[in-house]
Amino acid sequence: MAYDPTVPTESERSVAYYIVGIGAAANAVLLSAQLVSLPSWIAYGCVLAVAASLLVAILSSRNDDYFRHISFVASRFAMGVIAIWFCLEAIIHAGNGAQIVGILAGGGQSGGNPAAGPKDWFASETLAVTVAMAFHIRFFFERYRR
Amino acid sequence: MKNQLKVLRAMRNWSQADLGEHLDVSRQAVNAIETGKYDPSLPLAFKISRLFDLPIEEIFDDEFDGGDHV
Repeated sequence: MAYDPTVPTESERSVAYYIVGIGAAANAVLLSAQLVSLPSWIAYGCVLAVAASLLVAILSSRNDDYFRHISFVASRFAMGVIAIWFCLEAIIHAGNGAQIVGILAGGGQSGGNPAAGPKDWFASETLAVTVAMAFHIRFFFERYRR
Repeated sequence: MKNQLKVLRAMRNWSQADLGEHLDVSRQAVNAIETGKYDPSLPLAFKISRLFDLPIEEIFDDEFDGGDHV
């Protein structure tokens, strides 16, 4: 086969696995930042690392068959997490809808704000961090399972 | 799927990284194929076959027991 200087070497292909590993560690830090506050430079550094990891895993065409396979499995798992997340959100908001109907039936009197509470748990950033974590967990589970 | 990749690699005194270099895949991919965690794609199986100059069925064993053909 003719030499092609643009074909990545073995070590260049291996680097992709390490980048995803760094992304997973950064993702764990970001997940903990949902509970405790972190300095912004750490938080945004981690956001950048997670973004790099996901871009390498999903978009790079320079990865090998095996990497693409485990990325696909991890992506499918992450999509499943999104589906469960949306189901939970729909169920909780259905409860809110019932509460609104009850308030209207009761002449508009309410003891509280039906939109408050669970809404915060479904913030887009929390969803993004959780789904990215699901991706990384499944990626490494697939990589190291027996 | 069982395979002879580890034996064939050892016969040539290649590391997993060396074999990965020959096959244009990572050391991790070679390890996953050798340990049976991952079955290579058809193009990669042909590449392995050409590299070792052996038919695919001599490298990979699909453990087919000779049952009825469809």
